[in-house]
Amino acid sequence: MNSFFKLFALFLIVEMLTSCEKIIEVNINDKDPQFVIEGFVTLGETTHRVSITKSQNLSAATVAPTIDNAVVVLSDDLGNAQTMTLVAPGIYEVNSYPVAEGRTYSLSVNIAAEVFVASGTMMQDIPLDTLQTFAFSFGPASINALVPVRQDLAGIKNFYKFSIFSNQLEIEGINIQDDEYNDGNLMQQPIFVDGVESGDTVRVEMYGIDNAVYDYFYTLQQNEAGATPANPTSNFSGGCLGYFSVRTKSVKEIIIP
Amino acid sequence: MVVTDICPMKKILLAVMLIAAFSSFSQEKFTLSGTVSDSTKGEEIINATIKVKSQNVGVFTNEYGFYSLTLPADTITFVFSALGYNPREVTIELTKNVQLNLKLRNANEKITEIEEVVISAIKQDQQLTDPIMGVERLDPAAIAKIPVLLGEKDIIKTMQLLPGVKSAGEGNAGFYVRGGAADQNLILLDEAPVYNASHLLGFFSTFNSDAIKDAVLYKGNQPANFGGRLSSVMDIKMNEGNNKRYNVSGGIGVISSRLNVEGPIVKDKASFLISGRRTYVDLFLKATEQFKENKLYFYDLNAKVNYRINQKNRVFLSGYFGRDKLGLGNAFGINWGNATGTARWNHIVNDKLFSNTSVIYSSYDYLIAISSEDVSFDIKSSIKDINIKQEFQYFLNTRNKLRFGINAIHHGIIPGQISANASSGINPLKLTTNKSLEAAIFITNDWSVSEKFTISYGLRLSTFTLLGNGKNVYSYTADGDVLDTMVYKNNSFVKTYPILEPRVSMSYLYSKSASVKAAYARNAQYIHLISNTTTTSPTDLWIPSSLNTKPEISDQVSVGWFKNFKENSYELSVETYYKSMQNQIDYRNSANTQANELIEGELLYGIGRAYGVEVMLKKKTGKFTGWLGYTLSRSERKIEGINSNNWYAAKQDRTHDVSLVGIYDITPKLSISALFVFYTGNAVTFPTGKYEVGGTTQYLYTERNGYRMPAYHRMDIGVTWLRKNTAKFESSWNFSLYNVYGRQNAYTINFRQNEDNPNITEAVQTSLFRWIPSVTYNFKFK
Repeated sequence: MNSFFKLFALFLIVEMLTSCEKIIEVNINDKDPQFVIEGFVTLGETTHRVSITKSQNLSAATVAPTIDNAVVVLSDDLGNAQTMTLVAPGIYEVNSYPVAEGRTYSLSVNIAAEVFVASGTMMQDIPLDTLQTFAFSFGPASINALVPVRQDLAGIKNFYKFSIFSNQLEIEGINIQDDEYNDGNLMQQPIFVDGVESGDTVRVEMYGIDNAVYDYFYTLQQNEAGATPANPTSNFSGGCLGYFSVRTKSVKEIIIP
Repeated sequence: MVVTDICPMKKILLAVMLIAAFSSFSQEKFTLSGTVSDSTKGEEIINATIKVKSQNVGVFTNEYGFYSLTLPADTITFVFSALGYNPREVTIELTKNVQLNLKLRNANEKITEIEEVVISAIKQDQQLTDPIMGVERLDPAAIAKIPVLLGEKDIIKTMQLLPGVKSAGEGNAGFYVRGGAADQNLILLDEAPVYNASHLLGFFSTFNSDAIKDAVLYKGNQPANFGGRLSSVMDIKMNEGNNKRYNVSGGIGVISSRLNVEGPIVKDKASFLISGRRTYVDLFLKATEQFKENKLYFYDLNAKVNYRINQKNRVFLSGYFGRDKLGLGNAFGINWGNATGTARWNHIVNDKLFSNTSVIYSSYDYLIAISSEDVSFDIKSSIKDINIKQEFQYFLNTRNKLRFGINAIHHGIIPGQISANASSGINPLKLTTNKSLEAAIFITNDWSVSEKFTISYGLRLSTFTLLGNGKNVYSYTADGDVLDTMVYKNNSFVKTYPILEPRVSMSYLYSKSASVKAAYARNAQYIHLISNTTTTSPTDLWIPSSLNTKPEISDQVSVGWFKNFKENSYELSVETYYKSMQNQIDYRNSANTQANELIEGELLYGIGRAYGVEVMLKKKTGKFTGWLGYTLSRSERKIEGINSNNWYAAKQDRTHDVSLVGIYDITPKLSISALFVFYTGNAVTFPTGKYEVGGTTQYLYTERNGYRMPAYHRMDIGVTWLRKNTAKFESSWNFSLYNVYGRQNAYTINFRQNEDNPNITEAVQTSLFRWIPSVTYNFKFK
């Protein structure tokens, strides 16, 4: 709920007081680059993708440099292992690799003798029942809220992450939910998104993620407003940035009335 | 008598009594006692001086205006004086015990009759002789001319202009004392703790200056009768209400108005005071099409009655109630506020022994309500205190004044409670009430060893007990995971912490106009505010000490040099302090501090240190008055799990802090004022690198609080014009301009990607409040 309050405080400060913004120079120290690995294994799909880049100094003005010489191996707890191939700068893929609920997957990445390993277990699938929308009047404006309705599984902790596309363009922002206060209920918490207008085609991709990946994104979300911003804890061992997400997926589309 | 049966507290008590009695001898002695009050309002005067003429023997009135002075039998001339009052001389034949209730005339009142005796030059050298160090006293009348944001004079904002006290941010009523955190200040209103002393996200304090009689800030060296917080005690006392005649006064300002009504219920015996304040930003909002559905206001109400039953007994009832409301149509609303109530009984046991019994209630709560077509739920959280205090002041002789007593507080904290309608899809949650008991026994003696040397020493034994509530009590591993879960029966003792807090403070007057002082104090704090946001938020949560969270302890040593110049019209002081702190709290990376039953798993513990020098030059008399304050300081923490366990700057660490305040009375009716502040920016966490995740740029952090906000500075000016001042009516205008030269001070600095080239990262500074003018009209029907 704190985010509600922050949003409100921000709204107050920005709208009502004579606040002003300006771009300033801040002197920031340099930082040695670190590897950034982002990997996905998705239920119902057979192609899985990993991207590997490097971090940069804050003052850098170029796209993130890619790592093209890594050895990337995806395996499961039954011993099915496949090496991924480089398909584009920094992008590695594996094809024809079916995945199943309850199975644990491991990703091993070897970059010039440095090894990073992460694993995750595929959760039970939760499909989206319906995707609804309503206009939420927020101060002078009204914001279109999206309500992804689904039946939460009782007795286990479920974590959800949403990617939202309006007219095929992804809307930036971290949207995550958990069932701490709704365990086993019909989940219908709204997601507030900016820039969705009447007539737009909106697609919501809901992913069932594990606790570690949820915490990773929770930290990124907290960094946007908290006083103690910090690097999220990666589920990779070996000291790199990024995460490996083993996830379920369900997609719905709606045209905003 | 079996000596071993005497507990340490009793031994100390005995020792103190013996030391105190040491200086008395067997000549026959008598006592002069009574109260000192204001001649027109009948209000008792706090800290008035009663001295034997041309001797350095005397006492101060206590917080209820009572004094007692025991001297060998003689005909003695006494001088009664107080800051802002015309002094009076009274000659008394002290051959028996004498009771004298004396009235002093306010120095600003027109003299309509001839005073019995008027002495022109009076020494105001309390700053030299008072053994207590690091103490600041503010008179609300004296601050009325200092310019303030939106014209709302504010005792806390004026305190922030004193050395060692720092504002928590632009226009913020939160403050830091000597490197301590904002929750380490005990703010008392008529003895009741005020848990959230700010309105409107911190832009106003909860204290309506109209209702305030006196405010004293102890910067860590508080006497033993105070306890419960590490850094400071701000002791605010409400007016009693005029017991001679009715008064209606008030002020109309740009965004708020005030009204104060006071008067006698029974003349000279009972009086009342009601003082209210409300802001009306929301009325302007209603006038706009855009914001007309929104709510945004606060109000507060102070009320007090007192009744003098007879010469020996007097009762007081006082209360405060304040509330903030913010709302967006019907969809979202939050309201929060404090309520306090104090019932007191003053009893003069005999002419040397003064007793006060207080029963105090204090609460703070917030409520967030969210509703839309399908979903509606609310979140509540509160802290409620019941507090009982019995205190005695024993005016043993002219050299010793003892104060001792006991205090017990029951804290009840509801960390968070969610209620929701059935269709909302949200399960109701009730975190159980945390119950705890804080108790203390204390004794302190002010001892004038000689004319030059005074010492105030005391001891406080405080204990804190976490009580069981029939629900889970957790203990945690070093990683913040639950180690063990236990259930304790309702009101059973889960854990008790006893802490002995010695306090000593002394002053040596080495010349007529200069003194040196030294002090040591230990303070303990048992409840802690959990706040993981950049600014204060009404949803910040108090937690009690527990199996995991230990009481915070501080030890502060300070020494100081005090010098008066030019007939005491200038005061110069230099104080330096070093404070070490134990069991300080910080947060794990990205801690979840909201409605979290396992909140203690998000906390990290460590030690802290703060040190600095405070310089203050004050001009107290003449057409031009004001002060220059400068603080050079450090405040650091060392916490397991943060910055590789190295020392790092606390958020409130500011190297330099300067404030300059000047008031010039052009004519008795017209005065101008100005203030200037400058301080080093707070320690802040900035990213040092960036990387791509999920298609967006994220920032890479290396250390907490490793960077600095830009330096802050600002100048405000004000004009006060006393328009009418007759026997029946008084009116004045107050104009002020905040941030005269429109400096864009950084409120926040955020990082974002350039819109045109997302590969470029920009630092964006947000600032508030440039050139805020205000006008206030004040009136008073007498």
